[in-house]
Amino acid sequence: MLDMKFLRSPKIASQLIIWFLTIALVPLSFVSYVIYQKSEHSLFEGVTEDLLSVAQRQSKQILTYIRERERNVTTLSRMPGIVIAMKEFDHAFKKKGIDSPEYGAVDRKLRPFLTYYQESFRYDDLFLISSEGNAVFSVKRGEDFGSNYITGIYRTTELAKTFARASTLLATAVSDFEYYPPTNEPAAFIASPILDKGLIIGVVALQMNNEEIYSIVNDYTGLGETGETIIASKLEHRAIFKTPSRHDPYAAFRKKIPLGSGLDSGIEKSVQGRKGAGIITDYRGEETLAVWKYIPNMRWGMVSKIDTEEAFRPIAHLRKLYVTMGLITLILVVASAIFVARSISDPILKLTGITKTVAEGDLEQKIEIAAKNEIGALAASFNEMIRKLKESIEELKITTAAKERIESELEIAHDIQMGILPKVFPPFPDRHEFDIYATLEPAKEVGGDLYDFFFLDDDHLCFAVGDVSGKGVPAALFMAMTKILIKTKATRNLTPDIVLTRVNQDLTLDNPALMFVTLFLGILNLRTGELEYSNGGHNPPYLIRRDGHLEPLATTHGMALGVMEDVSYQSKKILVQKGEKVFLYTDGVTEAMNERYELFSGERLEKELSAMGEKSLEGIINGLMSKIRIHAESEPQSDDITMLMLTYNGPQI
Amino acid sequence: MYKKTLIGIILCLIFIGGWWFFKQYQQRDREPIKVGILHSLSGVMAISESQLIDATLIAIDEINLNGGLLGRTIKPVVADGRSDWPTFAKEAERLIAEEGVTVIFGCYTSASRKNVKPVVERYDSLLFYPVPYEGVEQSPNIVYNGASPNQLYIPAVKWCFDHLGKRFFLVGSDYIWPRTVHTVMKDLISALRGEILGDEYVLVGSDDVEKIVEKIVKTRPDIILSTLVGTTNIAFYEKLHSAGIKPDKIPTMAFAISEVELAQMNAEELAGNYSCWSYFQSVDSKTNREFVRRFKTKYGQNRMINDSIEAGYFGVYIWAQSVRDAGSTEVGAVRKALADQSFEAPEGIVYIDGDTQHTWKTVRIGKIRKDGQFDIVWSSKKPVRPVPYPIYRTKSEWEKLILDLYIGWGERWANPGNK
Repeated sequence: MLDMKFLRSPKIASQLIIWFLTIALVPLSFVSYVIYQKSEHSLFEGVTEDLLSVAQRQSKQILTYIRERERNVTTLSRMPGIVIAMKEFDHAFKKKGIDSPEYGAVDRKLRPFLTYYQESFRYDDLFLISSEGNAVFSVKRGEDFGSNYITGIYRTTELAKTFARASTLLATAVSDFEYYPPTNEPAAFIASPILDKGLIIGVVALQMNNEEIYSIVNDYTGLGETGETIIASKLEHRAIFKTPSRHDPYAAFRKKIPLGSGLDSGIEKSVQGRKGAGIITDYRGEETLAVWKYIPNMRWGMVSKIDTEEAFRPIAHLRKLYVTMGLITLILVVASAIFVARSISDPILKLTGITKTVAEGDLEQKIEIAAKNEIGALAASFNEMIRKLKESIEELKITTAAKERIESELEIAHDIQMGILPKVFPPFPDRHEFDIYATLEPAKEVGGDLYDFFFLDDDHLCFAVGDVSGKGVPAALFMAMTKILIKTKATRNLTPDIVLTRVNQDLTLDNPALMFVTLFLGILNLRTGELEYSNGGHNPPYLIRRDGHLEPLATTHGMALGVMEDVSYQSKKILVQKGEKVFLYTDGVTEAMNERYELFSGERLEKELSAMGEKSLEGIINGLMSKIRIHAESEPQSDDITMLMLTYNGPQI
Repeated sequence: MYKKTLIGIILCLIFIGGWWFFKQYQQRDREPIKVGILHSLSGVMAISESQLIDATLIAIDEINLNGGLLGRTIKPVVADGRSDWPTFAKEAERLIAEEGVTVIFGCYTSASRKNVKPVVERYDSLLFYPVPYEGVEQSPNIVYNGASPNQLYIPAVKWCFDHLGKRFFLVGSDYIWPRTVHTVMKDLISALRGEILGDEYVLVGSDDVEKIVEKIVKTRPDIILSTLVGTTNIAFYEKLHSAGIKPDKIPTMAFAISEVELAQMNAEELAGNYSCWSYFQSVDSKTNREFVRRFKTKYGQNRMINDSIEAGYFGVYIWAQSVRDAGSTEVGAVRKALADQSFEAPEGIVYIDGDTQHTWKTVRIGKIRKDGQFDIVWSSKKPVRPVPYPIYRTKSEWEKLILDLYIGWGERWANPGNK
């Protein structure tokens, strides 16, 4: 049933959980998201900024290094010593060649200075080249020593090109970093023209130390564990690595990237003279954060990069932290939501269960709820309610028992009251001078109406109808008293007025409840049909003529009995013809009301009586009674109803 | 019911208001970036200078077509210097102060640049100057995209010395650039023990070259070094030709004859002469071929491209890259971002020297062909460091020389002639 379903799916609990989650998680998620975005952004900025400064530092170092070497060589080219050396070596070389004793003499004299210079500034070699292109001196005396850089086999080498550039530009020139065939090693040269009195007499060229270049490039400070700097240059449609890389120690002059392949856009862009930064996939296929730029002296592209996995590790950590925090919060919120929801819904469920038991009639229940909140208060009131309910039921039981007793007693009283009324019809089957019929319908168990009829002697029939003020037991007792008084007071030779006067006297004698009774009393002379009557404040009865015409009996101006002592009543006499009827009633008939407060009324009574025609007395009275009941509909009877009717049939012989 | 309607109306108003503000904000953010272009559209220099406007505009168009700059478009404001040096200064001031540009691409002659320099310095603005010049200048407000003396005149003279002969005759227009350049070249020729047979000047715009040609005929140099500009050249080469001086006998090494000038002269008569530039239209590279195609598609197949056009073109890109890196057009930030900028220009990779704001450029010597194009006979093959102050004199000596010329010309940057 519904209850069971409710127990199985505790709605309050799930609603509470949902609300808890909404209230706790929505703002939390929002705030966390915003903070995370901000942190991620600033971390990203920070990481990029760091990498930019590392790249900046390295490119600056390379540029400064080359620039210093350039200045160094330029200064050297202006030294008188180098001018003398150039002239003397050139002279000796031209005259006798490098194997001559003259050359040897010059070499012995000048070599220490040139060697000292080359070694102290950490160059790999020092060359003197005459303006005709002859390599007239070399510290290392490699294969190219003595050859001609304009016409000889080494004329296409970088050294030869740099010599040509320096002598044409008349300024210090730097070579590219390329394989140098005479030594079969990568080499870069710096060449500066030697001027004697403004005229160029030759070029001094120094071979840079590769290790120094490598050590700048391979300085991974600030590049973490995966970062590296790559130097590459463009060779036709390829970018070629110029230095060993961190991930490939043999990359120098071996590793090549075809341009336009999209393999490492950082290297590709940098060798093409573009500058920039971004997240790119490098030559290893790793995603990296890279900064690239161009170094014009050597026509180098330089890329400083770090794997995004490492660079953005703080961001990954942050993300992890947020996810963990989120999960923990979620668990805590759900747990506390369940706890709170249970603490609210459990007592309610308990209450519901007990309410159900109580509803089924078991009042021996008590709700045990320790909570001091509204639910606790509700439980307390519920317990109180059960207690009160139990009390009320006990009381009700007692009251009901009392009522039942009274009712049964009243039942008996009713029977007694009815018993004192003549109720057997026809009452005098051997008398044919008249017919009589009467009925009394009390509103309650016992009523205050009365009727009676009896013979005073053989020819005189006394009959009376009365109505005691009030209803119920007091009225019934008063009625009983009245009836007994009538019976005792009405004797032969007494006229109705005397009977009423005497009855009144006795009633008023001791009437502390100030009750009274309206009473009509008539004495019919069965021989003559003369009716003498006296009316003590009662509704005037009707004389019904044979043709059905109604005639209220003239009033005798008497007041109700029991009100005042020493009241005298009058009598009147009419002659009842044979076949005529007398109809007596109490106001319970005319004042019968329906729920619309419409009275049955005297007019209605007259109309109904006229319409009765030739029915028997019993038929007439029962007919009237049913008309009254129909009129009253479902409205309970408010007053006792009494009707008495007699027909005078004329004297009997 | 009333309350609900009121709240609805208020919400609507807030929404509409917010939308309006957002639109306004966007509008302000989307306003185009104004840049100034300052060249002569009238006067004697218009022939050469109007081409530079085209060069600047094609670069701006290309950038705009590729999504603009910082999400905004670039809007060029063109001003006319009218070949008149004070007008250049006035127009520069108008562009900066009234049009609100933060950069000017402009100037051709050194005289116009010398006039604009104090203006951009006073307003702390930027001038991108696309023409090879005499050097002896350095301003934080000028980016020199043309060649410095060491990138043109020194290699040119040395190459002539090595390949053509040792007897030089110098001829030039009479203003600051030729005067300074001749000084540089004469220093070098002396150093090389060469012979200077003449050093003659003609007023700007003058055709009075007869006496000079007579002197050349008389001295028969191995090579003529020419810094003549504008229409004087037409008269000069006609006179040389009619005097029977042919390039195969006495060639000229000119510093103001490019593809553009050749298109207006008799190239057949000039074939065999030499020019020294960073860029020739005939440079054989993919980047250059595409640039030439784009330029000709836009401006016509018969249009010629020369060194200054190319420098005017890549200058815009260098500026745009700096703005992009700086994230703003604000001059200080752009200047900071300018250092170390490199770009694969049609001439090869160019690079902005952070110390001097001059450009690392390739040096090329070309020999005039009959079709008005050049055969490249020598190339430095890699960008050469710019040295604004030639090494033969100290910085202060150079500055005094320039100042003396300026004062001698009545505080002008060109010889006004006998007025």
